[in-house]
Amino acid sequence: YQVSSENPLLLLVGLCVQQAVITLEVNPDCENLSGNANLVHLRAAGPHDTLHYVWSTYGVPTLLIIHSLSNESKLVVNWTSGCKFPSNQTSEAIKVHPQKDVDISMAFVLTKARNILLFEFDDAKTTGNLNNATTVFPPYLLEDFVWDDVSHTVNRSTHTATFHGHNKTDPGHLLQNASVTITVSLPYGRDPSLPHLLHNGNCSQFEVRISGFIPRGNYTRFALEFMLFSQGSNYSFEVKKSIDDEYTPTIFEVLSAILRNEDSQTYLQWKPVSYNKLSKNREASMPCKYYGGSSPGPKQEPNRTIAHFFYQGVPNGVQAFNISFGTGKEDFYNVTRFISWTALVGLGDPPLESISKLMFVLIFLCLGLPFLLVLLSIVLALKHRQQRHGYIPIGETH
Amino acid sequence: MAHQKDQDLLIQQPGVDTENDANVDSEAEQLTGCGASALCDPRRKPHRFLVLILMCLLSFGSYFCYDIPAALQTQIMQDMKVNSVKFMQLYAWYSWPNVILCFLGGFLIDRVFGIRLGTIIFSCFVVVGQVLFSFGAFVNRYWLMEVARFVFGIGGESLAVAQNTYAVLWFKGRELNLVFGLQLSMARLGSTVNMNIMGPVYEAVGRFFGVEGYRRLGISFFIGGVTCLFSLACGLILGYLDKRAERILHRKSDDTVKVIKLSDVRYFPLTLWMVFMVCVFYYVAVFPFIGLGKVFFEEKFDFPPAHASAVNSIVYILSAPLAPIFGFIVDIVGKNVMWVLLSVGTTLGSHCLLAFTFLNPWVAMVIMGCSYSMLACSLWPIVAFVVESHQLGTAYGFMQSIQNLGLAVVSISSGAILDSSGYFMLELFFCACLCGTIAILTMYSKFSSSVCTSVPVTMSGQVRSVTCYRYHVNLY
Repeated sequence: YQVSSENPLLLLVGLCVQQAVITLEVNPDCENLSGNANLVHLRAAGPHDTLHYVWSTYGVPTLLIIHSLSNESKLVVNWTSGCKFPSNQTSEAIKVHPQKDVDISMAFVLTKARNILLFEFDDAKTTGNLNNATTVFPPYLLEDFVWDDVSHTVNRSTHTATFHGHNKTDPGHLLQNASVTITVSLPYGRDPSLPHLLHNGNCSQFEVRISGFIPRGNYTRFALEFMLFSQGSNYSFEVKKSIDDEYTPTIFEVLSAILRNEDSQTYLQWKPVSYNKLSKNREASMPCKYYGGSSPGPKQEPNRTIAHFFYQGVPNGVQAFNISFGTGKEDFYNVTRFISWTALVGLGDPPLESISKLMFVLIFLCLGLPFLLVLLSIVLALKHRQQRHGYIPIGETH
Repeated sequence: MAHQKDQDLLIQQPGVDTENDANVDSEAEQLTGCGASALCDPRRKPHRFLVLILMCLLSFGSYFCYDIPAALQTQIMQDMKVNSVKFMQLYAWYSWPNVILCFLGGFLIDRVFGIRLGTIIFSCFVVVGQVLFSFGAFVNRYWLMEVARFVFGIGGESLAVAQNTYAVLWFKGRELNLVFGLQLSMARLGSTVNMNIMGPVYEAVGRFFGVEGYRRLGISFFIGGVTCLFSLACGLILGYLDKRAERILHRKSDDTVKVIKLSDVRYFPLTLWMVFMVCVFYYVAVFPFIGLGKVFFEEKFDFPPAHASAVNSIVYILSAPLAPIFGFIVDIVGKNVMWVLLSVGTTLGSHCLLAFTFLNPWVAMVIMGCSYSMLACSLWPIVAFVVESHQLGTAYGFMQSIQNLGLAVVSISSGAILDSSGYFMLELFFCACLCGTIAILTMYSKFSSSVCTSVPVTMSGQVRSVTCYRYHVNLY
């Protein structure tokens, strides 16, 4: 690994895949937990650099990824007593030491939504377009949710943590079974479950599940609102089309929302598909629609997340997004009352899908071999025909 | 020799006017009255045309009623209170038994009933099936509707076998390809008319009879069943005309001598098996694809649902007008196997376009529609040149049986491939099927050899001698 300040991203690629040593800790340096921290830290150390993944539901669910050019960098959380975060958002409650190395690398932060604002909308026209919604109900604010202790759901071998949240402001007890579940993971290669997203070692995957909310109308859909924080303020949206849908049947697109400046690039990547059953398969799949990046107004911005501690406020690049689930007549939220959506957040270039070797072998077997066989037959037939005279074509049976 | 035999037969024929007429061939029956006119004379084109119309209408009823559940799917699911899985059983009850029953039907036509009686019996099955189906709806018994679809299936598919056999008997050596093309258009027409008419019929029944729910459904089905009665009537007339033609043309000569045994299937020529394989491998690369195509066009090409349905159904729509046109061309040019090869090749091309490019799928699907029409009218007639006429029903029955089997198996496995590996893999699978078809076709010429056929059916009054003719088909 050659550390290069001009293009630090080069170094990122393959960092975790090849020789990273990953350590996982829950609420690091916390002795007697009594607060709302719910923080998971993963440190992926390569020979010359480190990636820090910090996942927490403090305030609202947030995923933070920080790249440091030092292989000895360390995450420091300045808890107040009882493992609580300080009330002052601008305090440096979350830092990565040594700070000078963080500055050189494009420290990347991603918060998954300020609040993941959930709102249903009545969509009698069944177009699934958020902008055509007849009624947008008041959103479920994720900051009003209570989150279960993550230390019970952390899996140290697969580097996975699940945050399970319930709405605590529930006057009519309509939401007793309603929950939002976020499973964050750090997989290698390709995720074993649908939509089988590809990972390149500098990204983190999350899956959001919405279930049990009582629909407020006959034909409702759900949508999630979330934001990306980054130093890079140039926003672009990329659609990569492929002829191959081997890994995610029926889906031919990979979408990326990218924030960049001169020396850093961060992204959110997903496939336009969500699932309305826990056991994901083609029948349970439904399209999701994306409503592109806009700079949120100050009122929309979250007021407390772990990202605020890291940035001491809000960084330059902030983009807000919406994703709505379902477009057809058969995939209203009311049908199964369940939605699962998976995406990646990461640093550098988004993973690039390509046609697998298996496919090339199959293309050869399916098209190449028969083609050779046909060629051979034609040659043989031509030879044979030279020795043959006269025939009566079919249909001319005289 | 054959000539002599025909004269012998002529003498035995009761009620035959033996007076010679200068205008009529010496060995043929003299016709009087209407029989002498072109429309009634089985040796003349206009009469064959009449028979052709009857032959096409023969299956109109069964094709019409086959798709009645699809046309009234939501109404059936509402009125009978069934879910979509239960609903699909109506089609399963039709198709799965026919994996075997077609073959049996064809054999029975050859061995027991004969073509005329067979046609009428199977038409009756269709009528009885449709009546039971309507009755089942009328009395709100869903199980009866399922049984009825089974009965309907016994008739429907075997009727198609009978129709093919009729076509060969009357048109072999003439406009056979055109006739197969027309039969395909008729099938398409039947389902199209049904799709457009059953909804309004259901509405009208509600208005005029003032009934609701399953009774309304039952009455609508009864009305749809009228088409089956109409087809039965066509079958009866056709039977009469065929008997008459047989008497006038002394067609019986050879067929009575040879009787097919079930074991004869083992001695079907290799070329026939190759035709079967081509049939299976081609059809499984087209219909299961169309069955799963809508989502493909929506997802890969970003078509809105209505647009995706339109491009997905273009193959069916195109085949209605194109099949007879291509049939006509194949009749003129001959060389059926070459046309089949061409269709398979272009279908492969269209699948490759769909799999490997983002080219507007209208292009690929229109090509596929043309290829399918061409194949449908050029492949099926080949059977007539490969087997002897007393085995025709069995051969066609067998072909339809294994086609049904192939379609059923591949539809299921296509779904499995799609679930596990996506459309790209599925397209590769279809390409592999088509490449296999091409490989079989290129080998075809090496295995084809001359056979002695029985007397080709002639409607000209000029009975040919038993000929051994080569059906070597020019490929290159």
